[in-house]
Amino acid sequence: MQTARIVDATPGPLTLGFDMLDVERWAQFSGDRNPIHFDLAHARAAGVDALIVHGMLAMMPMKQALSQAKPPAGWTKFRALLRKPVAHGQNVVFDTKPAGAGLAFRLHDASGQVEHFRGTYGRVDDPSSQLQGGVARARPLDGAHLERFRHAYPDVRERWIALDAIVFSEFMRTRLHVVERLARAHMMRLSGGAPMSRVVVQSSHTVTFDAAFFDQGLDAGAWSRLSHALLAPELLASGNQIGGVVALPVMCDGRPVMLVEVGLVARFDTNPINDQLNGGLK
Amino acid sequence: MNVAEFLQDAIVELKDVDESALVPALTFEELALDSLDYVEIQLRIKKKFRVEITPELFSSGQLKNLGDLYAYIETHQPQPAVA
Repeated sequence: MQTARIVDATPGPLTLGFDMLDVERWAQFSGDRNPIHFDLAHARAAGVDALIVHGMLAMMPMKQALSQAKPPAGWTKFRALLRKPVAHGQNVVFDTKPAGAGLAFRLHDASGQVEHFRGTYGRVDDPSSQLQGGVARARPLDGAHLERFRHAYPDVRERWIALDAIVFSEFMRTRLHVVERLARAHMMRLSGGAPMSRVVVQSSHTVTFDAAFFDQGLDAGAWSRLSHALLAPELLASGNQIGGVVALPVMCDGRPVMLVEVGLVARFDTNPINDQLNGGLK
Repeated sequence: MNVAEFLQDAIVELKDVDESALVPALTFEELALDSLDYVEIQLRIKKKFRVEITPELFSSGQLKNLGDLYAYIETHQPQPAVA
């Protein structure tokens, strides 16, 4: 993984690439071992003629570049739409432009014709009042995750990026199956009970966080007071797909400090090869 | 923020299109949305306005352009309870 120290307020194009070592490191940290990242036959079965880089891995240097170019202030939002998977070993180009009070960004191929990610980054209104529903259902975050993140990504110093990765990883390891079960049951009802296989992909990723909280430092004491929750996703069927956004609020002493929203699309079909594709996200 | 403004913001986020081009007569065919775009827009409409937009509304031709979509949302929004 390449990262860069950006000194301009609007970073120039940044070339990124991810090899198998990068992918393995993210898989070890996150627990996402979907075979589309490691086995070409599975990637092809999912419709891509190359091994696929995890979306969260590809976003990490983008978040770093944005955060360094425009340090977060107040409540800040990073929002990315995942348009097309990045392949192992592929060089992709990250660029930005001013948009309102923040930045708009794209990750595209060398020609600029194929867009892999697009999104925005900048200040937003305090969303705390909408997150109170998560407080009652919150459960503690295991402090061991922070050490694992620091060990895997010692160069990533932005605490909000670390916490985002940790919350996502915790969701992958412990709660993704709950959402998948809901989606499958929903689709089974719509299909009259016909058995269907599925591929789940991540379609968007949004992180909204209180920069002042992270400025104060996220030391071991503060870390031990963090808790997180999963708010029930709203699912929406569209053809053979079900989309939904999973909201994962993070609290410190009961006060919301971050909201991670993971957009997921589950595609259902009756192709038996997809029965071999187990969980995981692009 | 009204329905049109909300949807214009959502579409600009998805596509490289100037907001001034998003006139009510612009068709979804001209916008060239892909399936993920449709899911994203449907989810945002459901979250913001509590209105479910099914794929059949597009495929049947009932919603052909942005103006159709604005009108559909405005007429199907749940009315606030009266005390």
